[in-house]
Amino acid sequence: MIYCPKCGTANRQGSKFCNECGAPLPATGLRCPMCGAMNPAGNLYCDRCSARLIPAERVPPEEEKPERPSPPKGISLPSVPLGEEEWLSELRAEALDLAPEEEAPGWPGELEAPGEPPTPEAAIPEWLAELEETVPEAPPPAEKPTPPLAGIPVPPSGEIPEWLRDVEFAPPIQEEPSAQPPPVAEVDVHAGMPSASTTVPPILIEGEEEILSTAPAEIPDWLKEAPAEAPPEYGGLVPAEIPEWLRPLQPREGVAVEEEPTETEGFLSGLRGLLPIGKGLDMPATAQPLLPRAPRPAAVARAELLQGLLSRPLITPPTAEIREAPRQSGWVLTRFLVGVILLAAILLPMLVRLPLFGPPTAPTAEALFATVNHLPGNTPVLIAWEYGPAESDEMDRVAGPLIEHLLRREARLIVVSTRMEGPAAAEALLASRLVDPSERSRRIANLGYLPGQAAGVREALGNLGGRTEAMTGLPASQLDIMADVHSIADVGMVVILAAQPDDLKTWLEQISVANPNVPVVAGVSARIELISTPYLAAGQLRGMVAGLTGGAVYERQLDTGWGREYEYYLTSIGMAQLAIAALTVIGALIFLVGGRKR
Amino acid sequence: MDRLVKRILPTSIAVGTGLLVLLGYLLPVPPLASVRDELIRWAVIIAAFAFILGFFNLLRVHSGRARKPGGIYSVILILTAMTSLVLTLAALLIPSLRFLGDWWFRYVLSPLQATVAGLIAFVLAVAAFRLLRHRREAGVLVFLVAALVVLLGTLPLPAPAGNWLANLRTWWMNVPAMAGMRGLLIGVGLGVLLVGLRVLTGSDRPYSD
Amino acid sequence: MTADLIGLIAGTLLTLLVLSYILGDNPLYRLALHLLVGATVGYGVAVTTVTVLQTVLPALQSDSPDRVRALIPLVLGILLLFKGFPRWSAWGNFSTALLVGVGAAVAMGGALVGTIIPQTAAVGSLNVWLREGSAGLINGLIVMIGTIGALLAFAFAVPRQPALRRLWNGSVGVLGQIGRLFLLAALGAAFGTALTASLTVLVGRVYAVVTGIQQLLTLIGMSSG
Repeated sequence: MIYCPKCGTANRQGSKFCNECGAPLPATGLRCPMCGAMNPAGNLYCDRCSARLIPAERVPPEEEKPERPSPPKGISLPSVPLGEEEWLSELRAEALDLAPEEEAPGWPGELEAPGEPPTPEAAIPEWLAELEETVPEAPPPAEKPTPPLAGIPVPPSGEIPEWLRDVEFAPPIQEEPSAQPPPVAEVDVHAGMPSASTTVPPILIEGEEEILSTAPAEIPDWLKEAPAEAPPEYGGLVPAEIPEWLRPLQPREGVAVEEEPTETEGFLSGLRGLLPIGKGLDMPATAQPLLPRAPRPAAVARAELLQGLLSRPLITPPTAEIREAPRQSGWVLTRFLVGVILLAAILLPMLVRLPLFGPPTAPTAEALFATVNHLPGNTPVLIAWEYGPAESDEMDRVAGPLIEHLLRREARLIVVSTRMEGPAAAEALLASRLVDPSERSRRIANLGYLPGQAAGVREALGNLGGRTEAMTGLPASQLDIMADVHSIADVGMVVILAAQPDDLKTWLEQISVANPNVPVVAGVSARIELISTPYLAAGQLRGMVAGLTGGAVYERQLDTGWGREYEYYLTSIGMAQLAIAALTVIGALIFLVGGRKR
Repeated sequence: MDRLVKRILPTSIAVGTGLLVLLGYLLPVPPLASVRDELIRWAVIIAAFAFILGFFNLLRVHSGRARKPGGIYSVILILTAMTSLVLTLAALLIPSLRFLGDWWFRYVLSPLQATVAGLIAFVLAVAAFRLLRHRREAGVLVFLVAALVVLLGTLPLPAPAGNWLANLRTWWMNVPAMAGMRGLLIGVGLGVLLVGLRVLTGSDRPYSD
Repeated sequence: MTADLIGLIAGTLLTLLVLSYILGDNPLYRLALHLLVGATVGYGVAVTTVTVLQTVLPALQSDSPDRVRALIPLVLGILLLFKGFPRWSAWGNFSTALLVGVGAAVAMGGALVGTIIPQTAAVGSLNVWLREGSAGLINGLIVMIGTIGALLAFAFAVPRQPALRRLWNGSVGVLGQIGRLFLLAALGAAFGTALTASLTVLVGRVYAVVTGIQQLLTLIGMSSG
């Protein structure tokens, strides 16, 4: 784990930036340029893809730890871990017994084959006989060179490939890069011809020496035929004649042959002509991002548009203060005028009695009155008290008559609220509408606040008996009023007193799920009268009193003596609404005639 | 481990509990219904802690702002919050101190909340005056007409204009306005369903980092 | 000075502080807002804390099955508080996940059974329309067209094929435009009713200020007299 230096959060190994605060994290390892995996700092090769992490020339030879020498990518080589076979080391040892200073000629020279196959009657060539004599005299070198063909899978004994049988001699491989490229083993055109010598060629497998040391096999005809003239000697060897088909492949003399670099590392060290190790292998380059294909014309157009916009000179808009000044004064004047008109409209009825307005009408309130009027006595009624001090000026005048009507019908009121101020607002109104305060414990149970919105409502509807009375702190199950009430299934009616649309919706929805058969009525603020109408039309609400108008109608039906207060309120509201309606029309005419402001 | 704590476990909890509650709604058999009710009970308690967390966060934010220019308001907010907390706790836990909570509720909380709510009328009045200031099209005119019908129809104006306006208002609220509102309600309900499905399938993960 | 008198003065002053917004945004109004937020939040936390204590404490003091049932949400609730610390906020993910999962399921159930099904059924309920005779039938048709139009007003995807697109624009598009008018009719009505509701509250506040000033003047007059 890497700990962020700024906030201390633990981050996953390999992260570049902190997950918590976004600060850059210190690098604590080597990132592989090929696969992107993070490796410990001491690694030379990637643990995941075996690519080289540190370029070769940057690493001193003594620092290299060839723990797992892996083949360079791109070269098809056997993946089997290679080790030196015993037979090969023996062959190598024998090859080193030859004179190391004898320079083997280039392989083309060795490929000269006679123009015609020799006759079988020809004797063993002189060069071969000479070879016999020189082989045992060569001293072994001080160093043991790398076996030339170490690593090449060796066929089991007895299954010598044909090409291998033809190979008789493999000169030793030089270690120094500047040394002459070692000759490839001579291709012997005398297929199947064994060597008369008892010396086992280095590349021949063990076991074959016995075969080769036996009496020579039948010499082909073409070999028997003696050459017209003695060919030149190269270090004791006489080049064979190059067959006709091979002549075009012969490199032209005089053309400088480029010396191919010699491999110096790994098991291929000493060999020439291999694939050159390019930069991509020796020094892994950083991954180049793949270029996307050509962008679509629409994208090009958008890019050009953006570039055009960005390259435009910055145009400073007119000074904000200059433009703001007339707007501010107009805005302040408008607000002041509207405020004055509004306050005047509200205060005027307090000073002057204005018989402008008639009695209010609210059909839905009258229907609700009839519904409550038929409620049996002692019915437990669940009241969802979903308003607080912010709406109490209106909602107290909507809920007041309804609550008083329920109390007159001897209903038991069980109050809950998902609003934090709801229980306290309920207590304030209940105290004002309850005629005999001593009756409180027998008539009202305030079960307090329900956290969690819809989940709280759902929980309360299923477990009313498990709650606690807010005023006394007693468990609801211990209250007389809650004796037979445990859940919504036990109540006779639900009254939702709501000022916000979400509260009404939540209660209606959860009641529909919990117990769709219980009658639900609502006392709502004028604000949510419209949202209640679909529920009323669909039958989910059996009755509704909305706004101060509805409260006034209900109050008139009940005749509680609070009517005067409603009259003052309604008159002020009526005047204010008239004023606002007039302002709306005047404003519409001004802006219609005067033109639209941009 | 990090991924397990931050993503896999929370997603499993959300999807698992949600599916259990939903199944409890669809198949109200006793074992499932009791699991559903228990999970809802837990959610209610955790929701209460969420509000407490919000309170601490508010204090932290404003204590940071208190040191900056104009931070006097933040200091006042913090002091008022602590005062309100102490007084209300005392009133709820100690019956003899209930009058403190009542006083605070009646003379501080109620006037502030009610007056801010009443200011909405002033803002709406200004907005009504400037209704056609920026856009003049058929839709805005329909909006204007609807507002005027409702405003004037609510007033118990004398007959015959008052009766006609009241009837027009009743028709408007029960037919065209209700149609639009019903469409909105169904649309909102479909939206709630869709969001809930996204949460229950793990597509939306508002709870994980 | 009694508590009620102090309260009356405080309440009147606070009301006037908020009403100063009519003159524009000013330091007095900002002071009042910060007082409001502080008082509301402090009150809310107190009520919430007491509610949690009333729910959890009895269960913790009872027998072992109820105790375990009370401990789990308590622990989850405490874990939720870790959300306030960036280093350990991941531990609050479990509680948030449970809240979100349960809340989504409860909301889904309520929306489907409580709103979508009954409201959709009510759109085409012919017997309700016919209750009011031919006028009811016409009104019912208008409500049906308006409801479907209001829903289609939010359909923004169109088919790619030109022929299908023309058909779509001619049918769904036109109905959507009609629905948009119904939506505006509803929003205008909501504007009017919201204005009525807030006017009621404003009237109550103005009355309270006037009454309070009257009472204070009376008291001052009485004390001086």
